[in-house]
Formats: sequence, structure tokens, C-alpha cells
Amino acid sequence: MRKILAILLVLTLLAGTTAALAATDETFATPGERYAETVTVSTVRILSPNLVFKDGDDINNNLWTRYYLDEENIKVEYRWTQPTSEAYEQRVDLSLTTGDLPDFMRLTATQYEDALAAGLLADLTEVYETYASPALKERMTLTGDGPINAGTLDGKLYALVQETDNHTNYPGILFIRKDWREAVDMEAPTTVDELIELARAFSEQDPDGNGADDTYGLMVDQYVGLRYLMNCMGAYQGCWLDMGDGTYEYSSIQPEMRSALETLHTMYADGLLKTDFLTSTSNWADVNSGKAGMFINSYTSPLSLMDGYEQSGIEWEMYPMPALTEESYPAASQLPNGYDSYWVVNKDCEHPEAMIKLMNVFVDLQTNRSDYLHDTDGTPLYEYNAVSMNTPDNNYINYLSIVEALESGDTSALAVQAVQAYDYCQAYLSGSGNRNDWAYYMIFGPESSCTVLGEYYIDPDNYVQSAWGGAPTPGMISYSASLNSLEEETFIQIIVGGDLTAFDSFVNSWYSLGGETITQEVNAGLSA
Amino acid sequence: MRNVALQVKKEGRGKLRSRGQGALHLMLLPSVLLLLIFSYAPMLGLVMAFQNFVPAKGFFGSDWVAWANFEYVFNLPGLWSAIGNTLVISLSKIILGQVLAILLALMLNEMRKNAFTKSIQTVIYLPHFLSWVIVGGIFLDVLSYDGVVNQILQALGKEPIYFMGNASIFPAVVVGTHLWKEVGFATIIYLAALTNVDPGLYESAAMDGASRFRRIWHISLPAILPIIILVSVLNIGTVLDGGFEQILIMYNPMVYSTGDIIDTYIYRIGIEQTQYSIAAAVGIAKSAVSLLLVSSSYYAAHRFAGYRIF
Repeated sequence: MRKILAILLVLTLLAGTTAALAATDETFATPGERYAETVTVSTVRILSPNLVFKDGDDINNNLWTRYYLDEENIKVEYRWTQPTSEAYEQRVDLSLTTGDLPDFMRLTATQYEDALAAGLLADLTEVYETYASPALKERMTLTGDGPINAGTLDGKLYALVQETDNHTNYPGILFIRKDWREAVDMEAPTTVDELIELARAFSEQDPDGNGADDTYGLMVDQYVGLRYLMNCMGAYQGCWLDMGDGTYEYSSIQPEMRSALETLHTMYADGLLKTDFLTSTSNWADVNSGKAGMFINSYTSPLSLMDGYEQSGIEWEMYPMPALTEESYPAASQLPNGYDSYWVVNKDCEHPEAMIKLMNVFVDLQTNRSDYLHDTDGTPLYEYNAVSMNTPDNNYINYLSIVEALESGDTSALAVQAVQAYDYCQAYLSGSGNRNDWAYYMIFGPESSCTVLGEYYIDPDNYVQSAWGGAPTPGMISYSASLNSLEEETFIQIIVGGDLTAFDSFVNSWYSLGGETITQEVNAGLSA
Repeated sequence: MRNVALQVKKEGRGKLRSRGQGALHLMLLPSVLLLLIFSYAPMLGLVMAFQNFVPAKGFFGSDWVAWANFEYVFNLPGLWSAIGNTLVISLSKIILGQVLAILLALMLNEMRKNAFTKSIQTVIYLPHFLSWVIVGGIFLDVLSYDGVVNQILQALGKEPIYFMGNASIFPAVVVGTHLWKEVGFATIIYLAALTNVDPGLYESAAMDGASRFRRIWHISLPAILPIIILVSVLNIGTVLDGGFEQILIMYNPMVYSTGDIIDTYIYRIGIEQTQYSIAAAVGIAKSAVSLLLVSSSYYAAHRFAGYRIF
């Protein structure tokens, strides 16, 4: 009896070991092929309440998640979602504090440094080499080795970094109401003085001819909207400038900023800006309802102008930013350095290659399957992705191929991503009168915001790029928060109140509260 | 009620537990546990005020920096103006709040009790239960530059007032809206004390020819004096608070110079950028001051008004 038991025991042990051995062979799937057994990975994301799902779908169950499951046998689970990017980043900060991370996620530069220092990230060098598709690898090196280097430490790859769209996102385009400009009979401004004169005319000369003093010149969308005006005046916010003598200084404390703030205060005091522009939530409504005649904002602004077009047929002219002098027209746009999206994998994730495979899927679908990018009613289906790796400045690249196709009539070379925008532009040209078609034509058409972008910013490389592109220094991590708060509060006080001595004391405080340290770190880092 | 209380006292002396006491202790237990877990235990975390706390390293791995955080905080330019603003706003809220609550309670007490007074009471208690997210949102809209109040002003031919963006009047807006929300509820405790006053006292005073004002001055007020002192002492401990939730909802960079209180300033510097050590350091400083104020006001109340809580 004992002998039989012993033999049975040994047999069970053997069976168990072989089963375990067989299981470990399944740890990694073969590159290019789907997993034999469903692999579940967890992640987190920003989920805008405006994102529409059809037929009872939701973020955990939709076109893309079904594709992931069918094609790659990967099940994506969202641990949590947040409605805005601020909320998302705060929640991620909390997760980093507790060390409770999902299998993969997107981090900002500072969060990436924290996670790296805390040893929370997986080494992706091998899985990237083995599993990344050629198309993905090409995308990652399109602008050079910047993104790969940013995610590498001591020769090991810890993050797949998304190259930025800063070249298209940062420059400001000056939008002027065509009918008002003609009513006051003035030319489009090329200098800041001319801009102020035009704004004054819009504020005071009743350009809409209704006999009421209900208009103001320049719409500025709260504090963030001031950046464009500052760039016009040769002042830059939050950049590190090469002073030309081998040293680097912080841009917000330079004398150009002082005079820019002085000019902005004059504009505010003269009523060219709305009194409560800093706190008002109806700034964009003003341009659509005929209260404001001009604004400077990004190339996507026509999307916010659809109401005005639909209800009152308002037409806009688009120009580059005016500069301080004729010679320096158009003003250069500031351009940050560095990256803000780092895709990382948790050290404890059993399938680090899963994220790479999902990224391959994204690149593949975005290049070849327009039915996964847009629905017939315009719903952005591409937003359902769990992980993305976009071509940098892809909107501008799409614009180039759209204009090509509109001109030649030949759509064979049109990128899949650009198909929907092209259709909208064509519809507008055929006289559809639809507000969406108009907005897309204003952005992607042959005389659009992208045209201004290309001609005056991208082609001539009309940017002032911040010199510091590396990881945040220890000083930046410790002091940036209070320094940035101080900067915003002081600037607002000066624009509203006009007391320029506050700027001088701000410069002193900036240095003594950590700015000195940061400047030294930046200079040391850049001269090395 | 009185007899039961005396009995319990007699029995309780010298014995840890007796019939009645056990049940009472059991009823207290949940609250005590709550206090221990959420108020006392977290105090151990205050050690991060003396460290350069990095979440990934935790309490035991972060470097010890002793007083460096405190030095940094007290050298921040915004902090001293924040302290000033906190005191101004807080003291206005406490003093005006108490005075108005007492006045309102006295007036309500003088009215004949009927359905009308009951409905008044319900209505004035209600705002207290609303969260500042709602009330703040309502006031942000009503008092905005193109809100209802300014529309009325403009209809009357006056210039609109930028309530939320004018640094000089913002503290008044904060205190005013706080009073609107809280004074009603604060009257409860005074009204409760006033209803305990023997009506016979009022009648005999009236017969002796005392006017309504004299009756209030000599009967009602002394009756609620212990409550007034108690509430004052409790409130003094909160003078450095200033109403974080309310101000966070209602403020914006244009009014930081007069509307920024200690908590909102440190919130911007500390929590938003996860600088936990700084926030903890300020928390300790505030508690130290509160301790000092509560102790001295309690002592003052004891010396000058013969009043004790314990």
C-alpha cells in the first residue's frame, strides 16, 4: 500500500513539473503573432466625458478593444479613468506615491524621473528590439534619436517617448473679423502698435454699426492666452534663452517681459481687453456673438468659431503674429524643449511586450484603416486606443497631402489619417454650408491656418526654442511650483494694476527663492 | 434627568465600570476609535515636515532636514501676506458671525412662536447644509462681472462692480457670503439656551417696568453668556483656518493679494506639486499657534469670567 502511494506521489510531482515547464514556454508570444492564450493587461487613461460610444459600447468594450482581442488576443482593462489631463496627472502622482501602478501607462517627464528613481519601471530594450514593428521603429526615429535617447538610461530603454507636436501647437495665428476690419478701413497689422490701433478701432468705433458701445478689440482666453501677445512683443514665458555669450537665462525675468507687461497693462486699462478676461468663461462666446473682433490663438481655433459661422456667418482672416518692428515681422513663437508623454511598463508586468504590440496595432490602424479612425458622423474612433504613438506634427503633414489632393484631384497619395478632413474640405468646396466642413476647410484648406503655420513658422523655422530639453533638475523639481505661482500672480497684478516695480521685486524674489540654483544647474548642464 | 446624572456620578466614583457606565462607554467607543485612527494616528506622519519627503522612499527612507522646510516656508514672499489675509478674513468671520448670530437669536426669541417663525428658522438653517462647491458656484455666477447683481446695477445706471476680481472688495465678498451661509445655523445653540430661561423672569421684569431692550440686556444675554464664551474659545482655535473650501472655489489669481489664505497658498505650493514636506511643515506651525491661542483664551475665560469646561 505504502509503495503504491509513494509511486503515485512521484508521478503527480512529475506531472506537475512538466506542466510548469510547459507553462513557462508561453511567457512570451512569438513576434508578429497573437498570443496563444488571452493576456490581460491593465492601464489607465484620460476619458473625456465628450467621447461618444455607440450601441452600448464603453471604454472597456468598443471597436478597438475588440480588435485588440481578436487580432492580438490581448484584453485591455482600464483600472481608472479621469476626465481631464490635470486630474489624470494628479491621480498618477498619487499612484506613484503608493507604488500602485497598472501594467502600462503614460507619464509626464517629471513623473518618469520619479518612477525611474524609485525603480518601478521595466527594461524595454529587448522587447522593443524584438517586438516593435518596422513602422513603429520608423515613427520613433522620424525626427532623429531624441525620443529614444529621452527614454534611455545607461543604455537601457525604459520609456517609449512620444515626439511632440509643438511646432504646430505653439505658434499663434492672428484671427481678424473680415467685416469689422473693412468697416474701420484699416490694414492688417504687422507691428504691435498697429495691432493696438486696430484693437482700439474695434473697441471704440462701433464696427458692427449697431449704435451701441458693446464691442472690444482683442479677446484673450484667460492667463494662458497672454503667451501669444507676449511672443509678439519679444517676451517668452518659461523658456531658457541662449544669451549668446555662453550663458543661459530664464526668459520670464528679462527686460523684454517687463516692457511687454507694461504694454499689456496699457491695453487692459484702455479697455482693449475685456475687464474680466482672466476669470471669464465666456471669452470664446464673445468672438462668436460679435463682442470681440480679434484674437491670437492656435491653428485649431476655427473649431471654436463654428457657432459664429453657423449663426451669423462670421468670416475670419488669418495672419501670423505681428512683431515689435516691421523688420522682425512675423514675430517668432516660443517653443518648449523636451517631451511630455512617456509610455512605460510596470516592472512587475508579466508581459512587457504587450504594450509594444498594442502600439504596433495603433501605427498599423492609423496608417491603413480609416474605418478605425473616424465614424461616418465624425466620431473620433481613434480616441478609443489604449496606447498611441503619433507621427509628430501629423496634422500639418496631413494638411500638406490634403492640399495636394484638393489641387490635383488625385486622392491616391492621401494618407488614411487625412481622408476624413479631406472629405470635409471637399464638401465645403461643393457648397455644403455645413459648419464642420467650414471649420476643417479653415484649418486644412489651401488658404488656412495651416498655410499661415507653414509659410511663416514651420518652413522658415521661426521659433525661439527653449535651450533646456533635458530632465527636470533637482532645483526645478523643488522650486518650480512656487516660482511659477509667483510668476503668474505677479504678472496678473501688473497687467491689472500697472505697478511695474512689482516686476523688479519679482525678479529678486525669483532668484532668491530657488531661481539662482536652477539657473546654475541649467548652465552647468548645457555647458557640459 | 438631573437625578440620573447625579446617581451615575455617585456610582462611578472609584469603580471603573458599573451598570450604567458600561453602556455609555460602549456608545463612546466608535467615536473614540474614529478620533484615534483619523486624528491621532496621522500625527505620526507629521515627521515628514522634518524630512525631504519623497513618496517613493517613504518615511524611513527620506532624508532628515530638521528645520530647513520651516525656514524655506517662512521665507516665501506670499506666506506673510497670506497670514495677514487669513487673520483679517478669519477674525471678521468669527466676530461678525457671532454678533449676528446672537442678534438673530435674540430677535427670534422675542417673536411669538408660530408657523411663520418656524419656517424662518428652517430657511435660515438650510444654507449651512449646502456644500461650498454649490454655494460658491452660485455666488460666482450671481456676482460675476456680467451676473445678475451687475445687471441690476447697470439697469440702475451704475457701473458694474468686479466682485470676484477686485482685490479690495474680495475679502468682504468672502466674509459676506460666509455669513449668509452660516449665521442661521449658528443661532441654534443660542436659541436652545434662550428657551431654557424661565419665562417668569421676563414677566416679573415686565411688571417692574423694564422695556424690551432692558429685558434682553439683563435676562437674555446673561443667560447665554456661558455659551457665548464657549463658542468664542472654540472659534479662536480656528482663527488660522479662514475657510479653505470656500476660498478655493471663489478665488482666482486677480485676488490673491487679499484673498489668499495660508491653506490655499500652501495648497498651491504643496499639494499641487506634491511637496508634502512643505505642506506638513505649515500644518505643524498652524497647529502650534492654534494650541497657544486656545490655551490662552481658555485660561483668560477661566480667570476673568470664572468659566470652566472641564
